[in-house]
Amino acid sequence: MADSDWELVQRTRAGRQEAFRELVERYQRRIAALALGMLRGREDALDVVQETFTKAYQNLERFKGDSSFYTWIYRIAFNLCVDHQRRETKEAQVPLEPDERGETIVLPQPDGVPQDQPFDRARDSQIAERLREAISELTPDHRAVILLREVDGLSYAEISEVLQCPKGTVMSRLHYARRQLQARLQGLL
Amino acid sequence: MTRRPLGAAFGSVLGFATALAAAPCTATALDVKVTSVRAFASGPSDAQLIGLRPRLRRLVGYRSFRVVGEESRRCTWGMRESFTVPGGRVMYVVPKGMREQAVVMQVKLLDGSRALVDTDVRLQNRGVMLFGVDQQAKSSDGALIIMLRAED
Amino acid sequence: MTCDEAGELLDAFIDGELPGEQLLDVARHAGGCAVCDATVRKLSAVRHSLAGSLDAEAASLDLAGVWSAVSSGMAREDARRTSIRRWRAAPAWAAGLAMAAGAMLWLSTPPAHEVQRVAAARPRPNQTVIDRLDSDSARLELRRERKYGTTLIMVSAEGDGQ
Repeated sequence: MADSDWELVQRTRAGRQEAFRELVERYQRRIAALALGMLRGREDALDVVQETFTKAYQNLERFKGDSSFYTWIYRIAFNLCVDHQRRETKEAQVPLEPDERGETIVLPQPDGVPQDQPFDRARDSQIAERLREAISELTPDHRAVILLREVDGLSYAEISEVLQCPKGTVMSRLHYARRQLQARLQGLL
Repeated sequence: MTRRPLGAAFGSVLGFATALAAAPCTATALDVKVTSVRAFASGPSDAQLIGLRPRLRRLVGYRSFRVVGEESRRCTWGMRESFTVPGGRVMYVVPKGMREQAVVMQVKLLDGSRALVDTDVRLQNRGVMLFGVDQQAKSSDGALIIMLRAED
Repeated sequence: MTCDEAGELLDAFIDGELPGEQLLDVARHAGGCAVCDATVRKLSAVRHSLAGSLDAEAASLDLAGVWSAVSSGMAREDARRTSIRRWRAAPAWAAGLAMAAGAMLWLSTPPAHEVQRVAAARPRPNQTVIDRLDSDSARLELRRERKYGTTLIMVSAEGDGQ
């Protein structure tokens, strides 16, 4: 029988790194799915997965077990996604300058850099494309609610724990987000 | 009577602290760290590069960065130190001194006997500067980024 | 149950978040109402499309490097904790000395207007000045990032020597 999350947390605290590895392997793909939906690119999603577990380890002493480990870790991942988006937007607004000798030098973009589209491999590209657009138009809070429910299958109570908002807010955000997606997929479903 | 020894002790602590605060920077050596980073078009980045990653992405154009080698050395002023860089290359660093909170040094990146870069730089103390070797024509591994840090 | 009443409960219905009695009421209503039944089907289809797309995408991600990156982050964190523990274990006189030194430094800080003048003249936090730049044959490109001043010298190893 597999160890519970709490047992693995306790063993990690006792210095057993392999216990934390088990937690990483247990949840990394679920965190990746959330990050893929929240962010634009696969690399960004991978970065968030990695940062989520690094941060979880750093703060493991603060995890008291009042909530489940996975809602705690989802919360870290969600906050990192929001930070990531904020940072990327901020960075994109800072232009590059010519070097000090006054030359404007633009490095060539490496060949073969894929333009990331998290939905590219969806079974129906048209539906995937419309979903991608609709998801990106939602606010991060609405996006998180629908991803946590539809992709990760969290209950309303768990979502309200992750996003630290009342259950009623979860329900209204979910209702709004679903209607937005449904309108976008009109005629395709 | 008990005040005298206390006062004397406090005085000597203050005196020692004053000496510490006023002492000129007499460091005879400099810590230099050379980190080699491989840049890829995709994949996760190393956690230790998280702070620098947005800048790397904007400067180099690649998305993912992984540390492939790291050497730290205590360098004596005026003496040449060599650092091994992937691809059979060598980086020579000669720290020359401090000027306006910056470390003055000569940096030479060699590929065999050929000097790819030979430069005199003033690098902010504890700052980082980057050298990139574009390997696009040679392999699909992307670029090699060499991060140079110096701290007196 | 009317369509308006059922409509408010359809999200919770497909999410299995309704108590037993309400769940049955909505199921009975949707079973006999084409409009509500169609809404339930559409909401379920949205779920399947979204979950299908992202699950497939997440399944295709190569997560093999995640653990090695996380474990190196853990090693750094462990090292940081060890050094904090050592620092905390330092004798009290060392802390007193550090405080005294801090006080002296504070007292010797120049007046506020001077600090401001010096700060305004400072370069960006990571700016590098290049006094000389040569190469035997490689093509060099310089790039500087505006926010921190981080400088990159890019070498095209395939340079033609010009």
